[in-house]
Parts: sequence; structure tokens; C-alpha cells
Amino acid sequence: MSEFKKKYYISHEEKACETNCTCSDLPSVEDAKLTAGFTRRSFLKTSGFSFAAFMVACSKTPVQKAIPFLIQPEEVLPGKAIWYASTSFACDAGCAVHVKNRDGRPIKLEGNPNHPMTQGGLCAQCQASLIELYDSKRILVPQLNGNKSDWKTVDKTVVKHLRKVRDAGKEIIILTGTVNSPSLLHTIKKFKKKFKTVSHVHIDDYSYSAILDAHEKNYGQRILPKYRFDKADFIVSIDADFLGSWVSPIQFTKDFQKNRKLDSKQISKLIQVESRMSITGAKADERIAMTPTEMKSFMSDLDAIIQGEMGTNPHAKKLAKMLKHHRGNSLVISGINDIKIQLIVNRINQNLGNVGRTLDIKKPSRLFAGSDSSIHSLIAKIESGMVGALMISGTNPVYILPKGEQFASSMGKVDLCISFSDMQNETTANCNVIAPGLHDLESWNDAEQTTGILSMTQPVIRPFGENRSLRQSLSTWMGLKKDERDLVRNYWKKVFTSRVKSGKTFTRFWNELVHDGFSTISSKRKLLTRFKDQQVKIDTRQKNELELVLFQSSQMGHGRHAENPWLQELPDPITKLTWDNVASFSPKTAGAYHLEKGDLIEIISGKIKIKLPVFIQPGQKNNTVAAALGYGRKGTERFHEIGPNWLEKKDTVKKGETVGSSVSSMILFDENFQYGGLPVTIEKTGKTWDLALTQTYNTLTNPEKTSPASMPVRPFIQETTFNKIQKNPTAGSHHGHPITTLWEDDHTYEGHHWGMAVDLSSCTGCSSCIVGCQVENNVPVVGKDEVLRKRDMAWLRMDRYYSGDGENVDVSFQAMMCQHCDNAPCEPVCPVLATVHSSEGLNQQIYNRCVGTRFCANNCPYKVRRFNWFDYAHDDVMENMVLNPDVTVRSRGVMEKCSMCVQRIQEAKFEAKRLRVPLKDGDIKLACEQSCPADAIAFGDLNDPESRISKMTQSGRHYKVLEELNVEPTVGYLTNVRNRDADEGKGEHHG
Amino acid sequence: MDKGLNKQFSYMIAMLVIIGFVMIFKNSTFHIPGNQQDYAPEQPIAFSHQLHAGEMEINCQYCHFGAEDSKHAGIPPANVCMNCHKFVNNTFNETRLADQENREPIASSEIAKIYASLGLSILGEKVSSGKPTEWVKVHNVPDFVFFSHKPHVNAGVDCAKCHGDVSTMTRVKQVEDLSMGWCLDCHRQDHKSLQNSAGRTAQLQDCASCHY
Amino acid sequence: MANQISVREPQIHGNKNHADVTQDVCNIMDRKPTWLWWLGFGLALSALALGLVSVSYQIATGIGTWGLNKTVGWAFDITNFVFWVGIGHAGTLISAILFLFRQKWRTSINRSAEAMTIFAVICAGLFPIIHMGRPWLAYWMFPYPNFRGPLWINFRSPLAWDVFAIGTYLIISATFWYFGMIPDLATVRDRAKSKLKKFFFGVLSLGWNGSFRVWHRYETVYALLAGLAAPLVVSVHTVVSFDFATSAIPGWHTTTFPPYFVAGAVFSGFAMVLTLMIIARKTLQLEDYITLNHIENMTKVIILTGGIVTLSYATEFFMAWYSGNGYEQFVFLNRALGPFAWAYWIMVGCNLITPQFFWFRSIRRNVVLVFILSIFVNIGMWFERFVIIVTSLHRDFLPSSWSMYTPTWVEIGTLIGSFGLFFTLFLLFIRTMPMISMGEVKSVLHYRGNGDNQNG
Repeated sequence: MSEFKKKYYISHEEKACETNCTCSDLPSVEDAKLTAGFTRRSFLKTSGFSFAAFMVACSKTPVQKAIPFLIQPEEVLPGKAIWYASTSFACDAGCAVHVKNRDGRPIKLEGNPNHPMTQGGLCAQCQASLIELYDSKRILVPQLNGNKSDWKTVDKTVVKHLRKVRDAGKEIIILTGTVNSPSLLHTIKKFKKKFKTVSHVHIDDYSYSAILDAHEKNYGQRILPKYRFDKADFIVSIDADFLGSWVSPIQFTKDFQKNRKLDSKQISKLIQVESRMSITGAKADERIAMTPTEMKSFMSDLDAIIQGEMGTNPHAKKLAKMLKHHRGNSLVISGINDIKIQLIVNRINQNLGNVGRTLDIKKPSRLFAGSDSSIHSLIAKIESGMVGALMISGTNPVYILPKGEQFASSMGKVDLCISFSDMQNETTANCNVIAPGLHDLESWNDAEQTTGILSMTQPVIRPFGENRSLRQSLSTWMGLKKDERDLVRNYWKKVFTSRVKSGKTFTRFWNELVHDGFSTISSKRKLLTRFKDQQVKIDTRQKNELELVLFQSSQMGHGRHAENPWLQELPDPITKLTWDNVASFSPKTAGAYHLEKGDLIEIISGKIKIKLPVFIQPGQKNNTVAAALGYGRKGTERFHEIGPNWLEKKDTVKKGETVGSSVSSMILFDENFQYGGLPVTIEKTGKTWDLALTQTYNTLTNPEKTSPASMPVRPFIQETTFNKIQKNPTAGSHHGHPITTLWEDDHTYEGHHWGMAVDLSSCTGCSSCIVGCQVENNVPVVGKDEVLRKRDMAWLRMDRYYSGDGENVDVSFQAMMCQHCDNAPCEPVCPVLATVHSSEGLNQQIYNRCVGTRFCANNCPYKVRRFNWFDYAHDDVMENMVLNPDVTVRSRGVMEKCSMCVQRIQEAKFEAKRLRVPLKDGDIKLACEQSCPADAIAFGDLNDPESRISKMTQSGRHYKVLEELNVEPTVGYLTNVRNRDADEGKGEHHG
Repeated sequence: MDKGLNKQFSYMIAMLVIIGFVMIFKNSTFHIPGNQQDYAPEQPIAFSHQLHAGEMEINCQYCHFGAEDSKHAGIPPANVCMNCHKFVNNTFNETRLADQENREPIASSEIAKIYASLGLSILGEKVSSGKPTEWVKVHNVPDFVFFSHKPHVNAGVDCAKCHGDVSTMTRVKQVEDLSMGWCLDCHRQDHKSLQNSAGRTAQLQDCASCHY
Repeated sequence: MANQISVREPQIHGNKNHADVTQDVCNIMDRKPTWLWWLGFGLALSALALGLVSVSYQIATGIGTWGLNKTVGWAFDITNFVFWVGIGHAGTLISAILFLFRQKWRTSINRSAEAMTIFAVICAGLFPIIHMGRPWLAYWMFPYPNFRGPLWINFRSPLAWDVFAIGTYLIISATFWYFGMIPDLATVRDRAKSKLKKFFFGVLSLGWNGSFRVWHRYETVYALLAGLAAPLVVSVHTVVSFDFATSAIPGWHTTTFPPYFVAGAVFSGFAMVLTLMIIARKTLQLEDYITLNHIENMTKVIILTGGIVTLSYATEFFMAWYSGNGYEQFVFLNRALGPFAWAYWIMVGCNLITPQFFWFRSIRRNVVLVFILSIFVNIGMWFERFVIIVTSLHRDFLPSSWSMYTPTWVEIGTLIGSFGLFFTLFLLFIRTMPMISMGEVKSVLHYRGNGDNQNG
């Protein structure tokens, strides 16, 4: 213990550092292991709740060491956060971030509001990627044939091999996820020059190849257009979950909202055609459920009708009419990775004259470059033994490819397989060399996600291990020794004149680039040919009994973050499911097959069988079964231990089992990766499976057996349509009878009066706010069993309610956190004054005063209080470094809840005091508010009439949940507005 | 019969009396857990605030420069010490005395420690890599209390108000008991500099101004 | 004597004289415990042991070892608490109120009823402490001078009121019980053979010498204490009911709770007294002292209080319907027809049906039946509290957080443990203290209830 006690610093704040503030005294992985035994003690240390000191105090004074810097760097001040602009590539799109760095440790990622793409939004994956930096299971030294090694030997062997391969005339293949880093592409180019037989293959976790190929056929360039949802007035999305997981959801959400301003004359209209229930489908103004095969015929009909030919499909007729009406400012997109469909999509957009207006092919997106055909040929090459060396970076082919095992075995044919992953995964297992790469927060990097916009990534902490970026490894093997920074910087120095048209000096440009995190650069225009129409024949004859639909969930993607506990416990926005993937059926289909929720079934296609628990999903298309990709990853066995340990504990996963099960093998891989439409059969196993759902009652309609006549539906979600709101700004928002009270108001807020509002019609339910809150406030991960027992700890939950029935279902989201009531029911009942009202309208929970009677939680009408049932694990010293030192880590037996990020409020006040200026509206941004890509959450001072929050509160759409109880919540909601004709209002809540 | 009774009865009275006495004369040097008043640990370097802050009248924030903009006032890094001790490496008045007795001034063993921490010999040449000095923290508040120097310093609270008059201390001692009650003594008063628009300082008594 | 016509049967059967009474009562303490006592004591102790294991495991590991969740924050813990407080009510009612009403029949049961009260309150008092997340800080519930500003307790909190209500109740009823026992303790002292016993009871009996003056003072103070204790019978459970009545949760937020709870408490209290007394009179051969009359009287009280309880249930439903408040209506529909309907119907069955049997004299005087029925009442009253607490919580306002509740073995162990503690204490009591108030019984010897009191 003692030696790691010395190293361990989180509790005493001034910590020893070398001159540059990347801490030498961070505990090494060994320490983390070493402490594994000392759960209780290490908890005391790390929790920041220095009980130990407390106990000792009775007898003698505890000695706390304070260790100053030896030589203190100017900008670094212990206890003061420093922010760095950077870019995180945790999600496929990559989010521009500001990294909060406290005492040398990055502890929070926040969206970079100035960045033209993500515009301050931040996805759940990027938020949560933070904890992967502190993952004690990372590979921190290079490995040779499965044993730890050092760079010297590794480099030697690799180079020797590569030379051998080159001389043998065999191929060296660099297999990466899409690389849009100019400097890295440059390095690879040089690498090709050095070792002649090199070829670089892109493979995307989730393939968009068809779109690019279609554009190649139509416009002569393999590009992914830049979609302009901010310009489109009428959007038809066929199975493209662009608000949740398709291409660049955060950017799209931001853009989409721009054209949904309810105060304007008109807003865009979104029609979603899909089989499963997606976030986009939930948000859609109209949603049409179709099976994948139906979609194909629908598409050809739609196309036909727009061209003025005959079409039978009624939906197609209707939509075609609307699309024609919105010529030039409509947008048709499709997530179906099938070149035929994409050719049709292109033709439709071309015919409607949308190209160049709602979708930009001149300055295309560079997010995805993967080509399915080249993967075909790659596999062929490897099979045939033409490949002498295979370098795999930023992808996990053995897992994501349908025939992963086959790929793995064929990797055996390659004498040198190098993986650059810093985590063990399915692929590294088959590589003889592991040259571990860097986490985004440790590395220098650049990216041109969209043509003309350069995003920058800079390290905010010194690498934990000896890891090297792919860039550096390659250049080392080419024989040029340069450090990470120079490799990137020198490239830009070289191309500065050609690519950056500006009067600035390079140094100035570079400093601004690193400071802002992005810069605009020029790019040579793609020479596009005129639209060359392609004839496509779609056979609409086929009819399937049951079709499989595979999709990426917004939090888990294609499994890259499977070992991230925050994402595993983040409830799926739609299903509210944690720690599992499921086979979901529509209620009707489930009935037809006599399936109950939780039945364990086998999905069978040919020889392939996959075990999945059944889930009943309202709104899903009948005769389809939907399952999420990205589960069943190797490495998730680690979660066997997670969660508090006690007699009746059920393990999150059984020993040696993975979280969920992989459905990659069900991806149909003909000319493209087909994620939908695979005909399958199912078989019951007779077994059942526990599904850890955070919400088990799914509608606002009372169960009819116990439903009182006076209130069949509960009025918590209040919604209306755009036309109604045009006529009457208060449409849809119902207010209870005015309450007369005997008591005079005992809270007079002379200073500030903090309040919050959530705009339900902006909120897409993407749930990145939940992760944001979790990271900011040290909310623990509790494991599947605790979630099953309804003891999830998230302070902010995303309530999801269905209305309507069958395939025709509306989904409404409601972010629910402590409502900070002015007449809070929790306050009078606490016997020890552990929860009291602040002079600024906050409902404060004082952990160290709480004795844990739970009366407050019982008496809370919103049930937003969370109790620490156990001492939640804080024994991984590495992981504990992610804790926010400004927020107490709650011990067992105390109540906790949303504090409206009081630490941020305080910090902002202190800063204002230092600068001798009053607080401005927007100075304080809460963790949830900050990360919201839809800007649905607003926080501010209700006493300031000019503040955004005051304006929202004045709005006619503003209402409060349970206002009739006279608890006077300071958190309000704005009605959910859908852009649909009133008569279409199907499942509108209490119409 | 009655005698017997009274005897037994008086036994009981006696017992009660004894218990009573134990209650009254219980150990009077009882110390509330967590109260570290008068805590004055020995420091690795016998640094005298009396000399620096007192006689030399060096401003507190010259060394503790974190106080204005950070949670922590901070303990000066060695490079700050060296601003002066680059030139001063012997004890107070030693130079003058040495001159009078015309001899070489004797270098101070304490100042030597600063040099050592930087890996320098007393004459200033690099000898080792150096390692920071591990000071003993004197003023501690429990970790569930959020204390930041920033607002206090900016509100013009005098350092001595909480730390006592360190300029008279050769070894720093905790003067106040740093109990919650003690904090509130201040927070309950109306401070001009802290007033909000309505001239109230109520927010200073909010629990969440220190506990979160 | 021959021409003496007895209008009623005597309070005490078997023509006892004073010596017999002393003999019979003290015998229970003097003679070696019967195998029956040992059996009972063994069972009680092992139950208590189970309870100790459960509680210590819970305190060492966390409240998580209970089946509670973010929606249902209380279940067995507070159910048991209210249940035991309720049990505690009969004692004071019998000893204080019936005393003030000069109900002579109370004399032979009041002592043990009071003892029962105290033990029940002890059991009850444990739960508020062990149900805390951090029981080691339980002392924060008391207002005491401190260095925190000072920081006091929240006098608005019903839980804080509980602390005082229960505290007062325990102290007063303990004093009352002990004070009433002094003359008998003196008797025991005088009969005691062993030195130790003599000394022990000597100290306890505060030098009682049975003189007229002492008796006179004693009677006065006893009356005064009775007057002091009487209002507590009402106040305590009223305060306990505030825990729910003052809350905002539909099903708790009910103004009828105070009378409802008090009636329920007396209801269950008497049932428990019956259960104990019937066992006692059988195993300790006290049929002459605890006669069928006593049992019958108590069953009559049960009919009355049972009636009030029934009325309360009806009122709740009526008010829910009459209020027109959807949430309120939902909660009560949910009680009767929701997932916890089974608990609700057990409650209704035990508390509404059972008392009705007592309309029949034959049943009232049938010891075995009364015993069984009394047990049913106890079960019913436990479930009443369970229904009120759990069904109100598990489906309150926002459907998103609706959930179910299932107890863990730890909770069940704790419940059993509390019974263990109760019976252990009671069994020890009947071995070590005069369980029938000799002094008072002697005063009603040959008392024929119609006023003409003649000593034969």
C-alpha cells in the first residue's frame, strides 16, 4: 500500500509534477492491480470522502502531505481547470471538443461551440470515451507474439519482416477505418513509396459504401455528399437514423433544429420510413413502417411517380406529391447500403433539383471512404496468400465482418499481422505484433471530416504507457525519427502555402489551429461529371415470412466501446435497455409466434444461429425482427465483477460470457453489406433472460383495470401540431386550476433564481445529456443486477412514453431530473435538514448531513432522488482519476440527486467576483445543457427578464409537470410540437 | 425489617451518587473529533513566516500566488523561493556578522534544503535530479467541505482572519478551530463586497455554498 | 352466605384468599421453568439470533440488502415499525384509561399488557434506526448543542416528531409499569430466600414498607401517572400517522389517518394481548385470574375498534372518489385490483371479517377460536401497514418510475427477529417479575361486579 499511497494524489490537491504538467506520479497499471485487493481502503482514499482522516482525528491529527511543483509552469495552477480544444474520434463522425483538464488529468469533454460541424453538440460515445483513457486494461507496451516487448525489438522485427515481404513481392496491406487525417494519409503515401507493394484499404464499422459507389456511377467521383438538413424543408428518410446513428448524427441534429424554429413561418417536415423504431422515427412528423423488402418496391415506385410514371404504392404517391411540391428544398436520403437503392435516391434528388441545394457534392463529407468491393478483393487476396503483411488500425475486422472467424483463420496465412489497437479485441488475438496506439486525449492528430474544414486533436495528458500513434509507428519503420507533434506540424508546414490561403504566418496559423481546435482550409475542387443516369431493376416479387433488421444503437455503435461501462449502462433511448441487446418484435408478430418479453430465442439463417432474448417493441413493422450490432464483444467478460457484491447479487454477465451477443454474422454480404432484409426463422429455446430496463411501464395511459374515469391518461407529455401552434401559441399546453394558498411565499429570491426548461419538441432523446451528467457529477455505474432492481443511479433520466398502437406509434421523450420545486415536498420531511432550499431556488442535497431515511425520495412526486444502496466500487485507482474533484463522491447510505451542477454555478460566481463583473446569462452552462446537440435544455436566472430561460418560461408552450400539486417546480417543459396535420394526430397524448 | 429496607435503599442512593460524580468529573481534556485547533506539525524545512512575512514583510500572495485565482492558495514551488534565495543562502544577519568577524559566512542548512530539492549544491551547481519538498498540510477541512480561496481573497477577506497572524509564527499553527460554526460566524455577517443586487448575503448561508 | 345470590360471576375464580394470590403469582417465578417455557424461550432466542444476523449483515453491507428501490423507499422496515407501535397501544389503554374508568377487570391483565407495551415499543424503536442508510449517525435525530453553527434538527419533519413521540411513550409507560409494580416487588422481596434476590428486589422496591401512608401516596401518584399516560394512547399513533398524512403521495396524503391509525393500533394491540394472555393462562395455569370474562371483554373492544377500522377503509375509498382527484382514485383502484391486490385482500379479510365473529357469545367464550382469530387480526394489521406503504409508493405519479417490490431474506429475517426480541423479553419478564398485579387483584377478590363487595 504505502508506495502507492505516496503516488496516489487525488485527495491532497497540490501534487508533485515535472515541469510540464503531465503527471509522473499517476498510479501505474501495477498500482491499479495492486489495489484490487484493498477495495475498502482504496475506496476511502479515492472517494475524496476522507473518512479515514475523520476516524483518526479522534485520537491524533491525520498527516496530510502537500507537495508543490518543483518548477511551476506559468499557465498551470493547482486546483484550477484548464481547457484545451481538441477533437474526439470516439464516434464514427468525430466530435469537436473542449477538454477540461484539472491538475493534469482530463476529467470532462464538452462540445466546442465554435466548430462548424458539431457546433457544440457532443455525442454520448465521445463523452464516455474519456473513461477509456483511464482503462486499466489498456495495452501500454508493445507486444510480440503475445508477450510484452519493447519498441526496439518490435521495430527491428517489423522492419526486417517488411523488407522480406517487399523483396518477396508480396503485398503489404494497411487496413484502417476511414482515415481523413491529411497528415496520416501523407505518411501512408510515403510509406507506400518506401515499401513498394503497400496498399491501403479502408473499412468502416458500418458500411456506407453504396452511397459512395452510387455517386461514382452518377457523378464520376466516389463521394459522400454533405447533407444540409438546415436547408431542407421536406425530408424523406428511408431507414436512415440520421438523428441517432447515421453518418454524423450530432451535426445533423444541430442542422435539423435550425429549420425547426417554431417562431418562424414554417418548419421542416420529416417523414421517416423504417422497420424498427429509431430515434429519428421517434422524432419524425410522420412515420411509415415498412419491411426492408417493401422499402425497395416503395423506392422504385416513388422514383417512378416522380418521373411521372405509374406507381401503385399509396405512400409513394402521397410523398411524391409532397416532394414535387418542395422541389429544390426537399431531401431524400436512405440508409440502405444497396447500390441500386442509392442510385434511385440520387436520381430522385437529381430530378427534384436538390443537388447543390440540400445536398452538397462539391464540398463533400470525408467521413466514410470504405468500399465493400475492395474488402471482397482484400479477403480474396489474403485467402490466396498474396499478402505478406497486414497492418490493422482503428478497426476490428474479425468482429465486424460477417465471416469473422473465417477472416481470423485466413489471417494465419499472413506471416506478419500488426495491430495498432490499445485494447485486446477479436483481431489483436490473431496478430503477432501489437503496436499499441494512443487515446485521442494523448495524441496529436488532424482530420478533414468535411472538405475544407480542418479539425485538430492535441494531447492533454502525457501517454500512460509507451504507446505510439500509427503515424509515428509507420514513420519509425520508414526510418525517420520524429515526435508526434512534429509529424503533424511538419506536414502542415509543408502544405501550408498550397492549402491555407491566408496572410497569416505558419506559426500563427498553427497556434490558432491548436487553440481553436479547427481551421478552414482550401481544397482542390473535385471534377464531377454531369449526372449520368443509371438504369436499375429492382425485383419487387420476393416475399419473406420474417425479415431481420440489424442496426447501430446510438450509444454502442458497432461495438467499438463495448468495454465502456458508462455506455453499457446508458439506457437505449428507445428500448430503455441496459447491458444487453435483444431481438425486438412488434406486438402483433410476437403474439403470432407466442413470444413473451425475455424469452430466449434462436434466430436462424441457414447454418447460423444466434441466441437473443425477445423484446416487444411498439411501432415496429410486423414480420420483422430487429437486433442491435455492437454487442457480444470479446473483453466484455470483464463486467462479470461489476456492481456491488452481496449475497443475492446476480452477475452482470456470467463468468466468461459477453454482454449481449454478436449479430455480425447475420450481415448479408453480397456486393454490399446488407444490414436489413435477411430472411430468418426463429426457434424458442424455452429459457428466459432478465432484461435490465430502466423503465418498465411505457405509456401515460393507466392500466385499464385500475384506470379511474376522471384520468384515463396522465398529462405529463403535452403536445400539439405546428398548424395549431401557428393559430394559438398556447395550443396543447394544459394548465391546472390556479391554486390558492393560505401561506405567503416563504422563498423570496432577491438574488438569482435558477431555473431550467426543456423543449420537448427539440429533444431527440439521444441521451448524451445523461452521460454528460454522469461524468460531471461522479455518478457511479452499478451493473445489470442493480438496474434490474430499479436502482440505477443516473440523476437525469430520459422518460420515454408510447402512444397509439400497432405499427402506428408516437414516441415522446421527457428528460426528467430534480425539478427543484419551490415548495419541495422532500424538504420538510428530512429530520436532519440534509435537504434544504437555497436562497437562489436550488433544492440542495447535503450528502454529509444525510442519514438516509429515504423519506425525501418517497415523498418526491417525480421520483428523481437516488439512494446509495451500497458502497459503489471506487477501487480502480486508474478509473478514479476521471472523478471530478469538485463534486463529492457519495458514500453508502446517503441520498443524492441533480444539484443543477451547483459546482458550476459556484465556479462561475467566483470567476465573476474575481473579474468584478456581474454574472451574465449563459455564463453558467450545466453539463446536460452543454452536451445537448438539440439545444433542448436551457438553464438560467428567472429573475433576469432578458435571460433565455425567462423567455422560454414566458412562452405559451411552457408547462410544468404535476403543477396541480402546488410544488412549484422551477424546471419546466415546452410542449412537443409535430409538423403534421391535426387529423393525422394519431396517438396524440390525451387529444 | 425497616432498617434492612433503608439500608438497601441507601445502597442505591450511594450508587447513584457515585455514577453522578463520574459523570461530572469526566475527562475534561476531551477533544471534538476533527477539531485540529493548535495543530502545528514540524515541517521538512524550518521555514519561518515570522522572518519572511514578519520582518521581511513579504506579501502573502507573493509566495501563495494561487490564492486569488484558484481553490488552493498553493505552496510556493522551489523556483519562487529561488527568486531570493538564489542570492541569499545563509542565515539572517549572518553576512553582517561574518563581515565584522571578517570570516566566510556560514551557509544555512535550511536553505541548503531548497537547493537540494532542486538538485543543486549550496553553491548552485547541479548535482542531482532533485525532488519536491513534502510539506505537511496544516489547515485541513474535511473533503465534503468545498473551500476555495478564490472568492474569499477576492472578497478582501484578510488572510489572518482564518490563518491567524502568521507573521509572528516561526512554525505555522492552526489558530482557529475551522468548525462549521466558526465559518458561519463570518458568513452570517453582511459583507458589502458580497452583496447581491438586493444587498443580501443570504446565499452565504446556503448549505450548497460549501457542501456539494 | 347461603342466601347470597350471585348476580355476576366473580372477577377472580376459585375462591382465592390473599395468601393464595401471592402464592399463585409468585410461584410462577419461584418454581423451575417448565419445558414449555424452555421451548418458547428457545424458539424466541433463535428468532432473535436470526434477526441479529440479518440486521448486522444489513448494517455492514448496506440497505441494498433489502428489496427496496428508487421508487419504493420503505417497505418492511416502516411496516414493522408502525405495526409494533400499534401493538404497544393496548398496554397503556388497559392500564391507564381503563384504570381511570375504574374497570376492575383490568387488574389481572394490566401488568403483562404494560410489559407487552414496553417490549413492543422497544421493537418498534429499533426500526427507525436500522432503516437509516447510516445508522451510526442516528444521534443526529436529537437536537443537541454542536459546533456546526449550531445546526439543529428539522422540527417540521414528522420523523423528528416520531423521535419525541416514541421516546415519551417509552419513558412514561415504563415509569407507569415500574411504579405499579413496586408493592408486588416488595412482596417478592419479602418472600425471597436467596440473598442476591433479596438485595435485587430490595433495591427495586425502593424500600417499600406497605404502611398506610405509603399506600396512600402510591395510590395518588398512580392515579396521576395514569392521567399522564392516558393522552399518550392517542398522541403516539397520531404522530406516527403524520409520517404519511403530511406527505404528498396519493394514498398517504390523508387527513383521516390519525383516528384511523389509533383505532387500528388499539385493534391490533388487544389482539396481541389476547394472543399472549391465552397462551399465558394455559401454560401458567392462570385460568382463575385471566377468566373468560377478561377474554370476552377484550374481544368486545376488538369488535368496536375493528368497526372503526372498517369505516376508515370505506372512508378512504369514498374520499378518493369524492375528491375527483385522478391520482388518488388510481391509487385505491390499484390497491384493490393492482399487482398488490393479494396483500390488500388479505388485509380486508383479516381486519373486516374476523371481528364479525365476535358478535357471537359462543365464539367470544371459545378460547381456541379467540386465539386463532386474534392471530388473524395481527396478520391483518401488519398487512394494513404494508398495503398503505408499498402500494402507495410503487405506482405514484410518473409511470416511468413505477416498479414492483419483493422482500429479500434479510428483511424477512429482520421481521422474524423483531418477534424474537419481543417474545424473548416477554418470556424473561414472566420468569423474573410478578406478571399479575397481586396488589390490585387482591383488591378485587370476591368482587362480584355489582358493587356489594363482601369478604368471605
